[in-house]
Amino acid sequence: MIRYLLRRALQCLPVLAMVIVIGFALIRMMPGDAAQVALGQKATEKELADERRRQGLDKPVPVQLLIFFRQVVTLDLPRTVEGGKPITRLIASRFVVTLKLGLGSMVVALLFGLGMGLVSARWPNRAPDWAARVASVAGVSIPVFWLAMLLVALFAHHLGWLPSSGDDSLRHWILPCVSLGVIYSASLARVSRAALLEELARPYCTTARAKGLGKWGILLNHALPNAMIPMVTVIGSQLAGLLTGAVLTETVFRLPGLGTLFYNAITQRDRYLLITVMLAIALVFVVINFAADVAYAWLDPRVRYGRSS
Amino acid sequence: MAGRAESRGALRRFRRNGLAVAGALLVCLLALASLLGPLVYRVGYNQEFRGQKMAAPSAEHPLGTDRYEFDVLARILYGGRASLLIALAATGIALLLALAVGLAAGYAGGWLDSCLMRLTDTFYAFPSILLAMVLVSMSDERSMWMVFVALGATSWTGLARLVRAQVLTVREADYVQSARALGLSPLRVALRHVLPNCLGPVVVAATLLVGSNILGEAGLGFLGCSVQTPFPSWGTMLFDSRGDFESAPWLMIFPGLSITLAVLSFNLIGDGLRDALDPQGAYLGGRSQTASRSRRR
Repeated sequence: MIRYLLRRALQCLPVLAMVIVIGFALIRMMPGDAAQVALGQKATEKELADERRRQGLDKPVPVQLLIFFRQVVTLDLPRTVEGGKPITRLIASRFVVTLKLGLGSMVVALLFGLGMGLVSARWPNRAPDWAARVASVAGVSIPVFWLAMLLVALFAHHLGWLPSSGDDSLRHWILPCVSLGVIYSASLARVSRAALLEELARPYCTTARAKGLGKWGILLNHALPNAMIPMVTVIGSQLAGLLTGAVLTETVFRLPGLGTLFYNAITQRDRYLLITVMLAIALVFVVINFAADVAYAWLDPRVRYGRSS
Repeated sequence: MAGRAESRGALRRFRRNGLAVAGALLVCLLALASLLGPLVYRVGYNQEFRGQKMAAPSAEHPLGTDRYEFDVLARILYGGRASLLIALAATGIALLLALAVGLAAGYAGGWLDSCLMRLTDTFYAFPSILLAMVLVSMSDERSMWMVFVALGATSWTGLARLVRAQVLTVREADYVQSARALGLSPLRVALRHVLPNCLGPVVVAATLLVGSNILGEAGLGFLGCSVQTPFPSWGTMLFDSRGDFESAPWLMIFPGLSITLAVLSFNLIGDGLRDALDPQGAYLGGRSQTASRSRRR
């Protein structure tokens, strides 16, 4: 297991390095002069030249890349254009909000998704299964921010039951977590249905039935634990997708998370902030995929003994 | 000959799948509506109706008007052109990239495979909408081609992994070995013998990608990074409705409904194609690695 862990962790390093290189390339490709953006239109030629030297823009590109590497690795990044706040601390505080939204939605998604999958597998090709399948196909087709807008229009403005924006109390989190969670429950429902049905067709489930176990008993005690194996990978990649969804959801509910920060960085043309948020999200992606692979190897020993490659 | 009989069987299975046929019909309907609709409903997407700001749906304006006094139905019909065209073109670009990367990595193997797959992993680490947003925000004008190039350039990773996994299973087949033994050039073997036999699952995934690229355009549009008003796309219409959707819900209901219907129909076609091409239905879906992993198990 440890050897597998190390090998898999080592594979992450070149990816992270390339992520930084791409981030650097994106910063360089941004239109406009970085020094001009930092100082504003009123800056004189001399001030611009000083700022360029300060940012290292007068050095050759490979040197600039190395400087950028050092800045990212030591978390020593320039301050934001608006307000001059330290970028890393800003991202850390915003990340907490996005994490809350992501985890809350994951709980909703697991409840709905597993529930629909279990219902489908309990009554395959019957009315409840069809209802769950139609709901899940519809669920993967709805834009998350549109569902959020519909829920806000209904529950916040029409009925007045829940607040439409803010993050003070638990009530504020219900609508964002439900809109994002419901969307992601749809693909979870599809995967769990397929995995559960595959397990139910295996001999050990037939044996359990022959021994007189009830349908729910087989489903929950025998099929579900084994069906978890393919589901873990999907849940892992879902978590990554959830981050993208969170960005869109946050803008609807005006939650001060990474998504709103990213959006503001684009409108303010703050290139370092923009790319650092991207890098932070990419880092989370890589870590989540790593964690999903590790969980997969832990659940299924064949993977870690290299039968898979 | 065997291949032709097989594809006839797949076509028959597809036709028997009611949901898939419904999806195909719906796609045709949406395409026709956005292509020919503006010829029937002769209102321009930027035709202003003075004094009718945010009018509710009525006989004159079946889907109401927006804050710029534009007719919503006309904008939905024209917006469909932009949204569908962007999604299709983006998928085309993603497919070309994925085929090139996947085929080269899977067929050549060795260091080229490692390099290309790490590159794919790198792009996979960026959430595609966000990367597309950065790319789009690099130019000041938000033209349509900027949007689909950005979406295409950021949505190919899952497909590329799928192509590679397919190539790996086909590469050692007897007919490929005999083609190689005949002395055909590697490029010819790869393109004429390996590629055609990898296409089934790739077509399925590409169909599903059209749907997710429609969602991608909607997301970009909703964040103000797709085509710009007065030019409409469904995503841009949702962006315009952001301030008013509580008082004028029709501004967001109809574009959102169009997006959902379009994505739904491509998803139904994709699911139907998958069932038709793989009658055993062992495929578990999910993103990228799941497919190759479930096969490996």
